Amino acid sequence: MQPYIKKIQIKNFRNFKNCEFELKQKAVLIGENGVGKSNLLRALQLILDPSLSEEDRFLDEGDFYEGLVEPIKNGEEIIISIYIDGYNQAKNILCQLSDATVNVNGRKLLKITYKYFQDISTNGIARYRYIVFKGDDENNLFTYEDRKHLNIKVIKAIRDVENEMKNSKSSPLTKLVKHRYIIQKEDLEKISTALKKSGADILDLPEINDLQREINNLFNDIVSYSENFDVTLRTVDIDASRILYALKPLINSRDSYNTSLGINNIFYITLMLLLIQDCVIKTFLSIDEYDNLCKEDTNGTLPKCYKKEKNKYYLKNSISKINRQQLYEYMYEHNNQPNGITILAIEEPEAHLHPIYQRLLYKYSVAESEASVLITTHSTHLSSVAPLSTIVHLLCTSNGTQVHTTANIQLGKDEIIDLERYIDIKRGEIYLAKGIIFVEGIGEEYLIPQFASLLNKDLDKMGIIICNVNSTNFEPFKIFADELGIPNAILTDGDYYYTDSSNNERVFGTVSSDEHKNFGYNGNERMLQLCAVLFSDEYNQELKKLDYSEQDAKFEERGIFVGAYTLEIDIFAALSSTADKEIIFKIFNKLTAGKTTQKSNFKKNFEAGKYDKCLNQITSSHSNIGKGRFSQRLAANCTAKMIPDYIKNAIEYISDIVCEG
Amino acid sequence: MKQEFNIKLAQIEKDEKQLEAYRTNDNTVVLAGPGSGKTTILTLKIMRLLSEMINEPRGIACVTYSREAAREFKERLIKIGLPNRKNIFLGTVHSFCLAEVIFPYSKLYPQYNIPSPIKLISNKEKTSIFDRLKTEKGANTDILKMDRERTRKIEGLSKISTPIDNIASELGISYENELEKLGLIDYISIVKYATMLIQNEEYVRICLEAKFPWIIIDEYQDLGKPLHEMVLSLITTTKMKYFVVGDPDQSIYDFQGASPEYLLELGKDFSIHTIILTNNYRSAEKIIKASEIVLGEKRNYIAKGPLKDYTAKIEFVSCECEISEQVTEVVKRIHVDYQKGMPYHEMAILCGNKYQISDVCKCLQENSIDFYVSKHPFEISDMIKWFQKCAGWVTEQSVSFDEIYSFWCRINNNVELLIDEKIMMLKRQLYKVMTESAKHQKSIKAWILYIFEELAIDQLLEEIDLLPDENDNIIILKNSLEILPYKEYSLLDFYNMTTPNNQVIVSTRHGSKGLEFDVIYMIGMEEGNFPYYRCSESEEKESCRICFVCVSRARKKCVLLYSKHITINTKNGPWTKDCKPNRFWKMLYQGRDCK
Repeated sequence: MQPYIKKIQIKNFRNFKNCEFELKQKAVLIGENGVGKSNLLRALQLILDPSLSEEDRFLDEGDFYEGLVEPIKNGEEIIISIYIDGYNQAKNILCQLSDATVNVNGRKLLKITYKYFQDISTNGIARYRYIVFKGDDENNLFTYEDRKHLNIKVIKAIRDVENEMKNSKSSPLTKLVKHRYIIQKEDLEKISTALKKSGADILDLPEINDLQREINNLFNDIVSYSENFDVTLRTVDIDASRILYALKPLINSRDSYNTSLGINNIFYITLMLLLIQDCVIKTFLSIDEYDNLCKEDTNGTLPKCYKKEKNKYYLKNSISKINRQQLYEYMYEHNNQPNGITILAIEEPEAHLHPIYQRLLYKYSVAESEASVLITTHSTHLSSVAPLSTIVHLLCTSNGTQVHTTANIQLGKDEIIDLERYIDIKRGEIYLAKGIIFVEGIGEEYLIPQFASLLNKDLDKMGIIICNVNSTNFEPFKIFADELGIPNAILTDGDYYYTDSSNNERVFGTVSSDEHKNFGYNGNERMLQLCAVLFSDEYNQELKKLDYSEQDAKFEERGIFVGAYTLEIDIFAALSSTADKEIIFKIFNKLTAGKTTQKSNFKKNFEAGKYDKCLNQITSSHSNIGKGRFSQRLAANCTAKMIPDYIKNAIEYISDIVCEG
Repeated sequence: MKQEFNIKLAQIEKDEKQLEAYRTNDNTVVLAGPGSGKTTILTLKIMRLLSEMINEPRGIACVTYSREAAREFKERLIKIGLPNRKNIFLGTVHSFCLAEVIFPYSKLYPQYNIPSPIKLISNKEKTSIFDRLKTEKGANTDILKMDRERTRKIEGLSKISTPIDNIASELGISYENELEKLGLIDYISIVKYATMLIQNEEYVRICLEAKFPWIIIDEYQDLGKPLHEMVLSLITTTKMKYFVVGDPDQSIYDFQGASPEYLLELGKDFSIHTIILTNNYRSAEKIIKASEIVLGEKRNYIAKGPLKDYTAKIEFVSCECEISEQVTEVVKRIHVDYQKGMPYHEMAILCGNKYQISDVCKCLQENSIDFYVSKHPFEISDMIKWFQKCAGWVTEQSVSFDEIYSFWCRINNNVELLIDEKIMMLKRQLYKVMTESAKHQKSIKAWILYIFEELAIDQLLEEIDLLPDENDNIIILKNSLEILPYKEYSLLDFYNMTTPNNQVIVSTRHGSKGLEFDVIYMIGMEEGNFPYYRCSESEEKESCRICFVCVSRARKKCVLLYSKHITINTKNGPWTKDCKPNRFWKMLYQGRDCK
C-alpha cells in the first residue's frame, strides 16, 4: 500500500467554510454540480501539485469562502491541512518528510499545511502571502524538493486526451518509457537503421515489448467485458534520438486517434495508472542491470523472481508473497529509486464511457492499484461499485459545503456487504439523494410518492428518494445516511399484537380489541432498540417512561415514524368514515380472482372495521392479488384522505428539512 | 568523480586491507592504527556509498569526536567532490542528537519531559548548581566525574561494565533533577534523551533508518557509552548499516566516559566484518617500534610509508633543574633542525599541562621562535569560526559569501520568520556590513567592534537558547584583543589564527591526537608527573595509551626530556623534589638498541 491522504482540514477556501474529514486510500467524491468537488482537489493541488506555479498558489480575495464579508480587510486566513498515512514503508517519504510528523490520537501522521494569510511588516503595511509548511513549524517549508517525493496528479474533467498523447512532451507513453527503462543508445541506432532500410515501423526492443505487455494487461482488465484489445506501440520517427519521443499506440492495429473517444479515455487512464504504479520491482532487467543487482543478493532472491528470455530478464508471473516482499525490500535498497509517490486524482473518469466500462474501470483498475486514487464523479454506475468506506459526500449547506465520509463507519462486515449490494442494485441512487425516506416494503415504495404529491410535495423535485429496505433492519441504512449527512426519515409499521393468555404467545395481524388484555406494538419495540443504538442515554431514558402514543411523538422528533398496524390497515382505518372507501372496494373487485361472495365479504369486513380480514383477503390465494399489485393499483387512484397521519408527518418532516437545507 | 578522488583511490588500491575496507558493504569495524590512512578511507568510503549505494533523498550520517574534526572532515570531503545533497549529516554526537533526534521528535513524545524549546544551561550556571549540591551533600567529587557517571548510566545491550563512583553518581541524579526543574538541558542530557528516544521509540528508529541507511563513525573509542548504546539499538532493530573506524589503543578520554572496550565489543559481538589496518604510512620503523613499547602491547604494525627505511632517532635528554631547562634544551635542538632545513611546523612540543605550555611559550618567545598554540583563551566555537570566515571573505581569501550567509541566516532564524523579502534584506545587510568593514582590516580589534555594532551581535546572542556560553566566550575574545599576540593581529592574521604557518606547535599530549610531525618533544617525563602519582589503575593504563598516541605522532624523531629536580608549589610554599625518569623513558631506554 502506498501513502495516502488520511485526513483533510479546509478553512475559508472557496465552498468550504470550515470542514474536516477522513479518507481512505481510495476515495470517490460525489456531490451535485457546484458543490466544490473540483475545489477540493484544487485545495490538495495547492499543497501537492508540482505543476502549479508560484502564481497559481498565490490566491486572492475571490478564493475566500463566499460567506465571508471583506475577508482581506478583516485579515481572514485560508488554511488547508492534509495528513498523510501509510508511509512507514516508503523510506524516501520518511526521510524527506519526517519533520512533518505529528501525533494524532497516538498515531503518527505527516501533516502538511497551506496557509494564505496577512503579514504585517514592521512599518505596519499589511500584505497577503502564502506558505506551505511541514508539521506545526511554519519555518519548515514544504518545497518543490518535497513535492518530488510526494505529489498529486490531477486528470481534469475536460481533457484533450488525443492532443496530450500526440504531444511528445506530455505524452504519458514517453514518460512511461523514460521512467521505467534505460534503453541503450546503440539499440536505438540499430532499430533506426533497420527502420530506414525496410521502412517498417516495428519497434522490436525488449523494453518496449515489456511495456506493451504491461499496458495490454491493465487495459484489457478494464475493457475485458466486450472484446480483447491488442495494443501495440509504433514509432512515427525513425531518427534514433527521437524514436522514443514519437511513440504511437495502435489499438487493434488502428491508430488510437481513430478509435472511440471512450476507449481512448480508458487507454489514457491506463497509462496514468501505470505511470504512478510503484515500480520498485522492475518487470524487466537488462543483463547488466541484473548482474549488478545480483552482486549483493546473498539470499538469492533475484533468481527466484526473474527468468531469462533472449538475454534479458523478465519478472516471473507467479511469485510467492514472501519472495515478493523480499524482492521489494532488496530492490528498494539496491535499485535506483523511481520517481516519488504520486496520488492520482481523476475528475469524472466516466466521460464518454459506457456504463459497463465505468464499473469495470473502478473494479479492475482503481481498486487494484496500489497507489492512492481520488475520483470525482456524477456517475452512479461508478459510485455504486465503490466500496462504502471510500465514499466522500459533499453537501451544500447554509454553512458552506460540508464533507461527509464513511471512512470510519462503524458497521459489521455483513451489514456493509448488504448495504453495498443494495446500493449496487439501486445503482447508487442513495448518493444523489438530498433526503431519504426509509421504508420496509414495496407498498410504501409505490404509495408514498403519490401521497406526497397529494400533499403538494414533489419528492423527485426535492431530491427525496424512497429507500425500500425490504425488512425492518433500518439500522445500517440509517447509520450510513447519517454518516453521509443525508437527512432521512424512517417509516415503519406499528405491527400491533396481543398476547394470547392461554399459551402466552404473541398474536399478530389482528386489529385491536377490548378483549386483548395484554397488547403491544412490535414497531415501537423495534424502534426502541434502534434508538438505543443511535441516540443518547438521556433520550432513551425518556422514551421508556412514555406510553405508546407519546412514544410515537417522541420518535417523530428524531425522524422515526411508526404506524399502528401495517400500511394497508392504517390506510383502511383512515378511510373508515369517508366516501373514498369506495375506491378501495372498486380496486379489490377489479383485481380479485374471486367471485361475488368474496367481494361482498370484503366490503362487509371493511364496514365492520375488520381491516385485518380485508388484508388477509388481499393476500390470500383466493383473490390472488398480493400486496404489491394492490398498492400499485391504489397508487394510481389514491386520495388525500387515504394518507395515514404518521406518513403525512414523515413526508412533511423530511421535505421541511430538505427545503431548509 | 573528481580527479582528487581518483588520486586518493589509486593510493588505497595498493593496500589490500584499505581496499577491503573501502569495498565492503557489510557492517564493518575498522581497527586503524596510527598512520594507517583512516581518514582517506573514511572520506572515500562516504563518497562511494553516496554514489553507488544510497539514492536521494536518503543520505548518510557521519559522526566524529570533535567539532574541529567534523569541520576538517567536511573540508576534505568537499575537496574530493562531496555532492550537495539532502540528509548528509556531518558533525559531533551532540549535534547529531540535537538536530536529528531531539528537535524533530521530542515534541511527539511529551512523556520524556524534554524541555521545549531546547535551552542549554551555561557553564556558569552548571558550575553554580554543582557547587551548591556538592556543599549540601558534602560530596567530594568534581563535575567531570559526575558527568562521566551520568553518561555511563545509560542501560542497553552492551555487556561492558565499568566501576561505579557512587558519590558522583548520586550527585548526578540530584543535578539532573535540578536541571529538569529549571527546564534546561546540558550536553550530557542531550545525548541521554536522544539515546532513550532511539532505544524506546520505533518510529524514531525507522525515520533515522530512512534518512540514514548508513552511519559512519570516526574515533569510536572516544565516544563513550551513550553513542555505543545508540548504535547497538539501531543496528539490532533496523536495517541501518554502519562503518566504524577507531583504535582502542588511542582511547584517551576515560575522564569523559570513553573506554576502548566499546569498540572491541562492537567488533566482536555485533559485526560481520572486522578489518585491522596494520600498515603504517607515517613513521619510520623505529618510531613505530617505540610506540608499541610504551603501549606495552605487541601490535605488529608495519612501516610502509616513504620513511619506512629512514634512520629514526629516539633521544633521551636529562636536565638538572625544572621544566625551563628542558625547554632550553628543546630550543637548542629546534635551532639545529631548522638550520638543516626542517620547517618549524614539523616540530611539536607536547606538554603535560597548561603550566608547562605557558613555560614553553615564554621560552620560545624569548628565543624568537615563532610558535603556534592550538589553545586560545577563548574557544574556537562555531561563532568564532564564523568570524574567521567573515574575516577571510573581507580579505578576499577563498571563502564564499553564501557560506557565511547561511550561518548568519541560521542563527537569525530564531527571531525572524522565513519570508523571502526578509531573507533578502538580511542578506543585503550582511553584505553591506561586510563590504564596509574592509576599512578596518588592519586591526582585528577595530574590525570586531565594528561588526558587533553593525550586526547587533550581542542582542542576537541573548535570544539564542542554544549558545548560552557564547556571550562569555565573546567577552573573553574581546578581552583577548587587548593582549598579545591578538592585539597586533590584522584581519588576515585572525583568519589564519587556527592554521599554523611555519610555527613550532605547542600542545598538550591529548591535543596532539590526530596530528603528525617530523619531530616530537615530550617534556615532563618524570615518574610521578606522568603518569600522575595518585592515579588509579585504569588511569595508569590510559597513560600508556596517551604516551602511545604521542610517540606515534612522530615521523622521524622523538625526544624525551626530564629534569632531576622539579619545584612544585605546595601549601607550605615551593618545594623542590628529586625526580627520576618515568617508566616510558625507561622502557624506551632499555629497548633503544633492539630492532
